[in-house]
Amino acid sequence: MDSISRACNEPVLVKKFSENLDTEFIGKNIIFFPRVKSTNLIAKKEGENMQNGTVLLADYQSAGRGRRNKEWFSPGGQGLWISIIIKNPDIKLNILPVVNILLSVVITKSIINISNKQIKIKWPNDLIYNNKKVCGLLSETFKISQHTILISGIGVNTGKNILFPEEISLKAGSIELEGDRQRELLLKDILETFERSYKLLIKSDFQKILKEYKEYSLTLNKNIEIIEPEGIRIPARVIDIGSYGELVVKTFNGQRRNIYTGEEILQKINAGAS
Amino acid sequence: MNLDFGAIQKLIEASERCDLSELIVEYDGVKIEIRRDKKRNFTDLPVSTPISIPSLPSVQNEKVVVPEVSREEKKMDEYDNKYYKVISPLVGVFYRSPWPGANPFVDAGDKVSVGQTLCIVEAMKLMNEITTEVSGTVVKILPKNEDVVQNGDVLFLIDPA
Repeated sequence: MDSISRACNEPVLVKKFSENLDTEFIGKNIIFFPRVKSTNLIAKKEGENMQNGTVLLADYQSAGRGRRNKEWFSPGGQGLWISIIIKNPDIKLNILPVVNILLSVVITKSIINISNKQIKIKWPNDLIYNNKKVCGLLSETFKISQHTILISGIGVNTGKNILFPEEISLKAGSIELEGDRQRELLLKDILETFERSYKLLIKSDFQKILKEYKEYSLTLNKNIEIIEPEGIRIPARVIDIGSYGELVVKTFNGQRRNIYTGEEILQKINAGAS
Repeated sequence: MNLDFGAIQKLIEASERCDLSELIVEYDGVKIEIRRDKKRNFTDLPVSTPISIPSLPSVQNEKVVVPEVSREEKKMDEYDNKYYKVISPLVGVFYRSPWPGANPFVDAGDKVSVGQTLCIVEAMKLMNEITTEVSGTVVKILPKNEDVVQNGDVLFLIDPA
């Protein structure tokens, strides 16, 4: 698969790519879509019948979605738009959210490895380059017919000169890889690193991952604002990342709180990525 | 002793000490209701203002009737025995609908069947769809939309009958 775009006409290239992956199960089945509404949507509908570790890869998503149905701009040939399906993950549900912490570390390291671009992570898992968001993650889990299905959707903006819609143009950026070959290398590195890290996670070795996460964090030891349900904003300082990846903050009146979703906080990163 | 601001404050403090979610004091035709939301600070609590309220017993000196709380506890006992409890498997934010503005997955009184999605609990951008393992009728939805729920919290009561 020397080009993800070409692969739609040459499924044999996808097969070859898959065979060359140094993994046991992640990406051993890759399904390529030249055009799809959203890979996560397909994964939710069909994931039950797909083999463990299946990766859905799209060239273009017409209705890519982020958290709480926010649009994820996924133009053709301009990014990695993938969903990884894990069936019956060997991780207790109460610590499953750490998979997203793990993935953000994996993708950060892969991007640095392939392109030497210095990526930082805005909590919980937005990847930031040059003050702009270049990658977003959204995982979903649900039970169906006795199976627990975990779907991790990943969107990495890789193209050069992407014309982002006006409403996100100040916040969204790209890692601007050198052509399809580099994009393919990035995909290979992400899938291989993810499987290795996932196996560590199963062995409960999350502390190593958490330590790396903290090193890349743009949020740790920074001032933020907590947004209360009523819209009131409370200034606070991030004092730690907890053992499940949650944000531990101290408000300026000394109250300590744990935060679990990005919607609960506001962190300004220069150009305003949020 | 008149029910002034100080007396109301003592009632609030008492409700905090005993970790009550609701305290209702009824006396001489006047009703004071104090509800505590775990997500909010005390200062944010809606408290009835003491304007034009006749004299009421103080917390310390006279009998304060809190019938609603004990009734609620009794109800929970009944729930324990009678209804299927849907428990949150993780800490996170509780959502009643798939996205803002969408219809809730279920409402109280709805019939549900095995495997049906009831809510989402989100932590660190992992959207965890919670399904029911029994068919029946939704009797009660305990958290409010966007409340932070703990691992083990009861989210729904379902009457399997």
